[in-house]
Amino acid sequence: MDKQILIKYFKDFTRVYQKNTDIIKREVECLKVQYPFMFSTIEEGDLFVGKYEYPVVYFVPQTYSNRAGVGFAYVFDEVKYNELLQFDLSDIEKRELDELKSFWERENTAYKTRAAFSKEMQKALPTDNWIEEPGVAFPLYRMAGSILNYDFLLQNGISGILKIIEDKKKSKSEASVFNNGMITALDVFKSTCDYYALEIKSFSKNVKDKKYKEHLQKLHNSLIEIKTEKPKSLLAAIQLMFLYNSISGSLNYGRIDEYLSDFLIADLESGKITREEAQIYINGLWKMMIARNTVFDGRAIIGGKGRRNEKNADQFAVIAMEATRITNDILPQLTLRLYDGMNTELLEKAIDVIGEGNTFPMLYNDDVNINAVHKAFDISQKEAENYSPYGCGEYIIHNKSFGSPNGIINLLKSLEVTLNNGKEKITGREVGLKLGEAKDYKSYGDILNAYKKQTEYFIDQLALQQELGYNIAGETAPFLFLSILYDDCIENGKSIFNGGIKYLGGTLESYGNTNTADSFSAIKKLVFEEKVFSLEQLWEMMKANFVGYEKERQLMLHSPKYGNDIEIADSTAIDIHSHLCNYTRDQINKTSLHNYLIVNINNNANTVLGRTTLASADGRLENTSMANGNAATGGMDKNGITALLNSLVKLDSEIHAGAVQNLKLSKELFKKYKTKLIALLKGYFKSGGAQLMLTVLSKDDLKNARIRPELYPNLLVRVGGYSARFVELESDIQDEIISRTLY
Amino acid sequence: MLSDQIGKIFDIQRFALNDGPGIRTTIFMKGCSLACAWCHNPESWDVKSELGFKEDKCSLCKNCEDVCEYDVHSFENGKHLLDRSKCQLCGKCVEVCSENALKIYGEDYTTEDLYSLVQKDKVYYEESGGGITISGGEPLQQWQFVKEVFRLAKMDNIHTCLDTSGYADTSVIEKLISAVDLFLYDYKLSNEDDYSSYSKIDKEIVINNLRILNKNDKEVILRCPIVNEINDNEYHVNEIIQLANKYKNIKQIDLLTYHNYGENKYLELGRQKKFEIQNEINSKNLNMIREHFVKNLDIPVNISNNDYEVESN
Repeated sequence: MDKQILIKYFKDFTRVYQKNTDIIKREVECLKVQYPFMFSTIEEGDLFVGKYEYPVVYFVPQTYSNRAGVGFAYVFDEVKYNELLQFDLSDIEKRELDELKSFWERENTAYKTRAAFSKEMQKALPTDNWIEEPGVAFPLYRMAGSILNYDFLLQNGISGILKIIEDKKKSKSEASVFNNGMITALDVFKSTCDYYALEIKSFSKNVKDKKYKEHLQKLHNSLIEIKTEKPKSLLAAIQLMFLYNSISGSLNYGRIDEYLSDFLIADLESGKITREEAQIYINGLWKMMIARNTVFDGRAIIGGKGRRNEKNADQFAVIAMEATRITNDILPQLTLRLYDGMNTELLEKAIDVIGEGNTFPMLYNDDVNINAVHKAFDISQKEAENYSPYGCGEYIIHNKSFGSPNGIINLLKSLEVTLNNGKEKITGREVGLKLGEAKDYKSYGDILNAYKKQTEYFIDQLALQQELGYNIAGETAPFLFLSILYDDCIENGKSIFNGGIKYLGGTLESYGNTNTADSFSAIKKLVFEEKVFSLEQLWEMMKANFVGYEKERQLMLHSPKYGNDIEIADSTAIDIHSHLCNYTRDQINKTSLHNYLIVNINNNANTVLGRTTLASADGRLENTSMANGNAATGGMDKNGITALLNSLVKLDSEIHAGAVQNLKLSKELFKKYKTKLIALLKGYFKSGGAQLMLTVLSKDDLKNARIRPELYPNLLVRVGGYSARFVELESDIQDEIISRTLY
Repeated sequence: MLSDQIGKIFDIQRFALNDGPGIRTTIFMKGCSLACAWCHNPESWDVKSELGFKEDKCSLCKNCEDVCEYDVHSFENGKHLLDRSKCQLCGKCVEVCSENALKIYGEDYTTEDLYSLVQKDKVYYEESGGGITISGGEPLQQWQFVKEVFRLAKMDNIHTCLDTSGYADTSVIEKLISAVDLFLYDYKLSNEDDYSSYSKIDKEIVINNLRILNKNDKEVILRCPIVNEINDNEYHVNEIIQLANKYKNIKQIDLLTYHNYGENKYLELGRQKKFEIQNEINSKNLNMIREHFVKNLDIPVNISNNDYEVESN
């Protein structure tokens, strides 16, 4: 894009921001600058519009960045800024840009949140840089995981919602500023429709293909239509949902089969479209989602209890899975909710799609999860039916609850710090409680209790940090597009983070759970039962990365491990898990959060955090990956898949907000033993399994792909809570995936 | 008390998919006197435990030498030597081996311990129509143990399957018969001249026991190892067909093709292999055999394809 335009945008956005002190007015005015500016034009082959590229500064609930400590709401993007500097700039322009930069560096929520930390929080959370710096606990600054009420949007249309807001305005005068804000935001949405309608018109002139031209005409008409009326076709419904999703900055799609299927069926029944055309539409929607590249998010949910139009929705679900099969990509993260008595066609179709080498759909078990969510969130069963996994697998109640994962805890590092009297060894930082040196713990109970106390200290600080983040969010902006489609905000006349929604909660990402449990199993056996070495000696070995202690390391590796259906190891895992989850859950008594729950969901942080974690008592070497999600350490699950699954279900799922179970299965299992495989899945779900994420491979696929990546461009694997092309991953993440047991 | 039985087991495979219907747990019992030329489980022969050592995995770290109290392990000229006669099977070397090159084959289980492990996968048996399979070795060498485990399984309505060579006293078969739902019954050789050279089995006993099973109307899957140049001949195939036509309790025939995966296990146990079987059977020949079966029999005839077997380790 032209330099002048980019600089002008930067200046305009900043000026408007600076000029407006009222947070509602400020957001509205900034949105007017941002949209449609941020949106990209339609590209050849696109069936819908709404692609975008982040500019240098923008308003968004959660940014998509690989860097730590970026912040939310008004986000300044340093990478984009540096791109601007690449232009041939005059001295005046350089100075202007520099001034803008200095302004935004102070004026961001990450900075503001940290500035408001208490002394204790500063101590426990000394850095935001979880990617490079060693530490036990880290804050994340984001308002992540919104799932909006698309059903409400599609059933009422923009005009219907405007009417509802207008009506409320009359009855509640004090909320009129907020209501006016929402109305203006919807005007911004309408101008975006106009922008795209014009874009399509001019783009269409050069399109030769007659069919595509016809489609563009329909799309154009739909954009005009959705401005003032309810959507009347599947095409218009998809476009309305997708454009709203893009403009809101929300990254997940919710129960897509429920809110789109009535449009599908109506179009099919009226003969407006054929099934093949419907498939093409959904494939086209999938391609739009792929283009957004939201690899850790982009969840679309199908199946499950509580859909108001189950029969229609099931038909949509089959088409959705077929779209996933056809597009064969890492997005959307299609999620199938299962339950006893459901339409069996859905599971059959899912197995076929997965068996072809797709990592989707992921399977979630309603028969366990609804009750688990009911208990963990302390809400009714009926409300719990609308649980939705978003992102890497955190549960929220769509358009009712918010539970941004705003903290990270590395349990293995917590144990490490406990053995070192509260000090983080690599940085020398005093981060934790001074509970004693390794030699001071005289019994297994001593060290276990000290670890628990230490971990609790960090959880306390993380919960306060979570609460603080929402306070900052509420003070910063009303997040109008989210508020419009979140239940109760319009009704209450309050924005999402200012008391508008029913359940404002939070989630805490925990890592190293399995390694910590296995470390304790080894400590119990080798240090306190068999007395092979002392805890002090163990600490020396850990610091030495076992160099010179190979025999001792082997004893640790040969100690009982979680994931083998062995009581002695699994009971330790249960203890670590229950303590972590229950203590975290109890933070609602110390904060204003409605819920605060552990998620053992895992992206690639098991590997990233492992890079800065010392060797551990389970025999793991320093700087290597920790186990993924709830899984056993790769290669340590030696008793077969049923043993692993039996271990998994021992961890109580009623005290957290989601855990991921990645399984690597052989292609042969799908080909030759489909019936037995389905029986295996059903058995697992019947015995309490909450969910499964399957990656299907041939035995040598991964190793060959490392040697000849060019031959495996489409080898999809499940990393943690997200999928990736194997050849594009960093080598230690590849290693972690290779190390997982193939069943 | 029968429940005090101890069994010597060398492997347990959960989620076994090829040893009977559905998802199964297969128990491999130690002890077999047949010493078949093509055996890929030589670790099953001796009813006692024994130390296995995979030389190709050994990194010469000498951890084993350090911990062994009986001087079993020594290292000379970059070679790891074992004096098995001194080994007391304490397992300490296994615990410190950095490459998993050492392993004790044979672990004692009480019937109760074994059964409590088996019943952990009950939900998977129920969903798939599976159950427990006891294999070996020749499981009938420890028949009292097997009988008790099966008795416990039947009390819980778990399907039971016995994988046997049929080489046992008829009285033993009769004692077990009511606790077994399905027999995976070996039929190895037809030409009696082959017996002394390739297997110490006694055809008469095997056939007689098969007759007893038929008399009791016990379901049988006949499992026939097909080994290149040993029994891949017309005579043997025709004998099998005759058996299947005669005994209507034979519901299916599985042809188990020879594979050489077991070769290294002989070395691992410090044993000499008596026969060198040069080739795995060629698929053309195998298909001809199968077609011959299909033409002459109206029961299913399957070829096991070892490429598709799920790895146990």
